[in-house]
Amino acid sequence: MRKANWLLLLALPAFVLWAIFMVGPFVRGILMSFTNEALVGPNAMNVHFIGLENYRRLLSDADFYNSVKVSSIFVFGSAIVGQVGLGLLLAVLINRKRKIYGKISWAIALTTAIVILAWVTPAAVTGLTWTSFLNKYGVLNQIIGVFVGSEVAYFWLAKKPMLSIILANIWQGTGWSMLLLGAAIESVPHEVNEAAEVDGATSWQRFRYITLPLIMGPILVNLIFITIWTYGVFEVPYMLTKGGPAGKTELLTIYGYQQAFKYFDLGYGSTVAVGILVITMVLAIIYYRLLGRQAWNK
Amino acid sequence: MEQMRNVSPDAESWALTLKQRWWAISKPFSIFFNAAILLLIALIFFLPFTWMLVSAFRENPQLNLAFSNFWLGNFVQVFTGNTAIWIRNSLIVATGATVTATTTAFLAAYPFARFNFPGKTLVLFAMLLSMTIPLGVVMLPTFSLARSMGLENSLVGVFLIIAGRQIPLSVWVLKEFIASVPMELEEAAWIDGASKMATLWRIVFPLTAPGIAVMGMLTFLVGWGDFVVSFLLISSEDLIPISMGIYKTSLEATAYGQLRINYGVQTAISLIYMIPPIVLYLLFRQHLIKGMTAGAVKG
Amino acid sequence: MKIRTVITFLALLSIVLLLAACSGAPTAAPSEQPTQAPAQEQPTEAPTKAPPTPAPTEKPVEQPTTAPESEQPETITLSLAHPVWFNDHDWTVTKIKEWEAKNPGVTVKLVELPSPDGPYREKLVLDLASGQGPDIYLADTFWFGEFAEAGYLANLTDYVNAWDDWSQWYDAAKSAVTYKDNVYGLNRTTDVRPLYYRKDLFEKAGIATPWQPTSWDDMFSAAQKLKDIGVKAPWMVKAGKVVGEATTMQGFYMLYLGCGGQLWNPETGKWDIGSQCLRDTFQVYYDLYIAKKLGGDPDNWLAGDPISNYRQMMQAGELGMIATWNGDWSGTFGPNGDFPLENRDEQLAYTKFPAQAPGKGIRGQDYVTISGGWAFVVNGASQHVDKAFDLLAYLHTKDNVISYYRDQPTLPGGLPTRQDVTNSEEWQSLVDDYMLWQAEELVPLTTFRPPVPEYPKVSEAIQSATETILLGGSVDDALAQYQDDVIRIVGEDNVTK
Repeated sequence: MRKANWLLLLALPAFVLWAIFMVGPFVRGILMSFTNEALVGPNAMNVHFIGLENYRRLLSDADFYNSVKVSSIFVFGSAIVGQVGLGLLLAVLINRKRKIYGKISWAIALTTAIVILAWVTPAAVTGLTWTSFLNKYGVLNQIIGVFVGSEVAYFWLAKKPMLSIILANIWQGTGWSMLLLGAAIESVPHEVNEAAEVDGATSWQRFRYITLPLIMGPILVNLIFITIWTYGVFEVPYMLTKGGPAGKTELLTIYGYQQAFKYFDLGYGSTVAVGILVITMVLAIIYYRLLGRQAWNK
Repeated sequence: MEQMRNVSPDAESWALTLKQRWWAISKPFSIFFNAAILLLIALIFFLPFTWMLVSAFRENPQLNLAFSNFWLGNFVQVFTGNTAIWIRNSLIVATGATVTATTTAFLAAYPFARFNFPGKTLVLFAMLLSMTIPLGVVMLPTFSLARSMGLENSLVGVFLIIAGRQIPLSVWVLKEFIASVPMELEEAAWIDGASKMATLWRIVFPLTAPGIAVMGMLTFLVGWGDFVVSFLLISSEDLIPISMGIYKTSLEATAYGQLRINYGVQTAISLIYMIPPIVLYLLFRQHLIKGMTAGAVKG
Repeated sequence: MKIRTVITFLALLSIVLLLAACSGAPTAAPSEQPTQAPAQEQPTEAPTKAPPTPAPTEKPVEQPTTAPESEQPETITLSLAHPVWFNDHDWTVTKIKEWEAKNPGVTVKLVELPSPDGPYREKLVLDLASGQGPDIYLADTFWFGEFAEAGYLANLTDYVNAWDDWSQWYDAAKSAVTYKDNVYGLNRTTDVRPLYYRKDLFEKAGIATPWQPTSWDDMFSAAQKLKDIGVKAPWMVKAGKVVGEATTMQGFYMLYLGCGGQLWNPETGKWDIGSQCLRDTFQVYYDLYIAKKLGGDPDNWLAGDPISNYRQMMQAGELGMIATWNGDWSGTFGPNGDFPLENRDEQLAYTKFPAQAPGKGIRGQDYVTISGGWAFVVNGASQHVDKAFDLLAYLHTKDNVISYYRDQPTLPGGLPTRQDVTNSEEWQSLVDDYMLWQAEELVPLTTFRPPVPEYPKVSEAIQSATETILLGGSVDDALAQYQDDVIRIVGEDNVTK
């Protein structure tokens, strides 16, 4: 590390952009959270500071707690179990250093391509695709119907709304984890694995005791990003279930969005945003502890 | 692993031959098993696409898979509509965001990777934290800010907002890449008389190209997929991006009863919408994997 | 040393930047903050008093050429915003061209905003709040309370009072565009809700047609007969949050009015949260979807696209009867509709929706229906209210309303709000029996939603309560939830238990 010099100025454009378009609106939002600002109704003409009123309302709002719960289930199911778990499995399966790679390279190429395809699919298309897939007379039921031998009309989006949005999010997000963790596994030195193989370690043992510890760092980094991203996911679940039925999939983002855009209650909507930040911040700090300082300062 | 080390040499070679035999027997099963899992995952991931692929080429499809006659009318409708303009706008947004975010983040990542200065950790952590603010909940302040800066109804406004939101992640990732470039290379160039900017451009930039490709591609995907920012800022017909275009092709129920969702046109546009990300991935695939490898090792 | 200065500079800059970002709200609030613009300009007049420039021309339409001389030098542009679904687009453009020809110096620009209603309203409110909204826009009449209070609607009372034609509006139609005794918009048509039923299925089930139920029991027994012959959904009542206002207007209200319910009492300003009628209404939902399973699968209303779904079911003969928007007859099930019935007039029929029992309906009626509809309004922040109203008046003259029915490729679904139109021979010759039937039979029965800013939220509480029942909750659950929601929205003091 060198000492700082004028090259620090290089950071200025990025810093300005970030401060204006990311920090600025949020700070503005925090200020709004202390007001009754609204865009429709009588409050629109009579904006004033109301102190902690919105926060008091937030803490006694059953819908908010419901959203915290819903969001957490969603993050756990789709990010931690789904994307990281499935991503890791795929990363192992497509690993170029495995003995049988050559024999099944066509299957690997195909799978990688399709999983990546899902990952690059824009949200608008994902929403449409999954709406049709899980529809009452949609593709999934048609396929099940073929196996069962009779028409199936199970409405996934209504009966299993949480599962539906989790599956859609796993589908969309796994590609990233697969790429990242795949790259991490490939960077594990070949020799270590070979030595262990000579020692007679089974492939599971090699994975469990050699590869996994070595890629723990990337896994944790990946977990952080995916957790944070998933707390912020909005578009696809909103397109699929609009937060319903009866609030069963009302993620924090959907809840905040509805306060801000359906009711145009900016004050309270901003308070929800602050709530989301606090929750993700707590998680970030937990991960930060898990990772240890050195990973950050490297 | 521990217990393996204690085995005697004899037993070890015996174990080896046994293992080789076992491998000879189990290899076909293993291949089959692995291929089966992979193909199953591939199939599951592919299934949601089927409806779109089929319906785009059918007349007046509904939300189920129906193999009626092959029909290209949807595409005719798509290409006689505003699709070309929508694609242009989306390209402007995605490219603009990519160039802005990646360039500025690369420049910013350099001092973060190379220098120690007070407040560095603080800024980095603040950046990380700021990533946790979902766009959905700061939309209105973002919007009123953009308005007050005269950025409403402008594609520049849309891509600046997207770029601004991509900067923290880009800085974080690129910082790692730059840190992995040996400092000696830079110092050698300085001794040869190259200016610091020239070194940055000629030494650091090429060596971090994979990382830049990764972040560039990610930002492009975000810009290309953006709906929310454009929805807020854009009101002119000729400035809407393709994501809003897809939305426009669908009309939903109103209390008033109007309804027409043309799934045929929607799926046809969706197929077109997916082409650039796919092309981009194919072009940058090598970089992406290299970039991820480099980034992941650092972890 | 050099390094230090750089760092100091950066630190200072970041502080300045952060401060600049912070100060956005407090300093902007009084002056430049765009959301405040309408508030600044019209602190109190807008909602209660006359428009700032109450100079309506006596006969704005017939004598447009007298004014231009003084207005010649300035060229103004009026913007008119509408959602994508605006079916009357082409006709409106023609009429605007005509009007422009009579008003030199004024051009009208059409602004298309997204659809459906949710996003349309979002985009519109954002535009209005920033003070840059369109001069004229199309608004659902149930937004009037919220919008007028926020200053987004220009008060047109003086304009309409100075306009002879206004006396031709039906009183009910007038009340749809009136909020707190002020008129805020012009509505060309309004809608009503009949009960549709599949004639062929009814006959198959042994029910004589034409059928006219006189009570809910009649409907239940017919539904039971339909179920017996295997009809999937004998009687659907719109429900749940997914279809939004349609649940309230075409589902809940049709029942609730039938037991004399009054959601909001204009005299006391209180909301009904505990009447027997409210309970009876939810009970119908419960019986249909849960207890007697006569409403088809409750899931139909919980996700996806329930509106297409019921229409498809009607087309496929899986749905027995449903109360819905009057435009469905031609717009959906007609030959040019989205879900045409092969032989509509043989398969589908319409009839009046009965009260719980004869005489039990609102105002002692035997049959009930409700009207809503959209209206053209003028932005409260518009600089050209005179011209804007002039254009609106032109679009709503008797001749042009008749032209609206005559000169469009398909017959519009709405009913005219002008008596002189409905009474004119030309209009009567233009429309079909169905339209005449509605004008004669349903219009006299119709009612309107409470014109208050809280209504949209209460309406959502209703949708939520029906969703609770769809998911298997009891009537008591639904009522309790509805009560909590409404008390939270309007306050403990504004409800009748």
